[in-house]
Amino acid sequence: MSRDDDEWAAWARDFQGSPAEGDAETPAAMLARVRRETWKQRRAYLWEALACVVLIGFYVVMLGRQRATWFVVMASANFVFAALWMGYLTHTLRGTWSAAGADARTFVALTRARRAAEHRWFRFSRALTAAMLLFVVAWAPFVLRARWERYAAEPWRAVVGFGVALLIGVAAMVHQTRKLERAERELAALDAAAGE
Amino acid sequence: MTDVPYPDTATLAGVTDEERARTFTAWMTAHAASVRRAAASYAHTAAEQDDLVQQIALALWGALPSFRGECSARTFVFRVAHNQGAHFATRERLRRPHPDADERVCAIVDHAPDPEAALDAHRRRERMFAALRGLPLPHRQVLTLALEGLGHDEIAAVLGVTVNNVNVRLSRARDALRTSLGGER
Repeated sequence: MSRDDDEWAAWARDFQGSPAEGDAETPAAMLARVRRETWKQRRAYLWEALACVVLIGFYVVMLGRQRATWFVVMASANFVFAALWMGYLTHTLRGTWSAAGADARTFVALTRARRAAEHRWFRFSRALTAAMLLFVVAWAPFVLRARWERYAAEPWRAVVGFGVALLIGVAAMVHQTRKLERAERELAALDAAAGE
Repeated sequence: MTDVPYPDTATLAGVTDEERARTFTAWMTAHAASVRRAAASYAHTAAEQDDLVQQIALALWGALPSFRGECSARTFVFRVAHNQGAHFATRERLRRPHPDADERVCAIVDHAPDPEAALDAHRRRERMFAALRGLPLPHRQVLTLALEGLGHDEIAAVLGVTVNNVNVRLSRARDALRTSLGGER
């Protein structure tokens, strides 16, 4: 036996003789856990789907009352957004585990493609939010002028109405910017890991 | 190590939930120690290793319907384990770009009756896993799989590279591990 073989045999002995410590969960307990986790993932998806249904329902009801052009445009944009969001979520849910059993090179390529799609999606949704925010900001002076007497009598209505709209818009922008930055960092980390 | 034969499950697409659960349990039972060792080659602390093992189990459960019998059960389990390990390493890189040396805790169990020998073996294994975790991902994966006893063609199937590439990587990885462990050629 050569020196290399001796060395390899010693390494293999050390490696194979060393199961790491931890809570030795039985496969049955593991199975119960993965079933719970799988259900949690489905539940999260169902909540998102429900939010989309509520959003669509809200605009459908409002369209029955408000037929102004600007509202029809906004409702249409939201319908498109909801449809795209659901399509994206369904695609992600299906693709999450299908790549797990692929070979390492394919897995990294698929993961990178998925992260890149996420990145594009976050960029699109942030741009859409910015456009909606700009629309609200541009529209606000007209509303203010049209309802000036009412707002002058009860200023809190203007503060609450415009304040909440602005707060929601800015919070959404900050949230989406963070997601976008995280997606960019993940892409960079994936590239770094692949290039090692 | 022997592979788990599943001649009756050439493909797991469309199998019942019961069959899927039975396969999952059998595969996790057969490869539990290997999965834990794979986790230890990516995660530093025992708690992180537990998390990674759970993540691997979840991924295996999710990936089972995509098993088409094109590789052995062992290859499939190792693919899932190392893919999740690589995913963990990527997230780890985001969370802790430069992990502290004192966080590099590797908890290894040894059941040797002699306490001194046990301690010695424990330290040796601790050093080995710490050295493995310090290697670049391609070196770490090829070494871990070879140390598990997989043949070069099986390692190539897990990693999606040619056997030639496995040979080259393994040779470089051995040199890197030897250097990390402070050995000399």
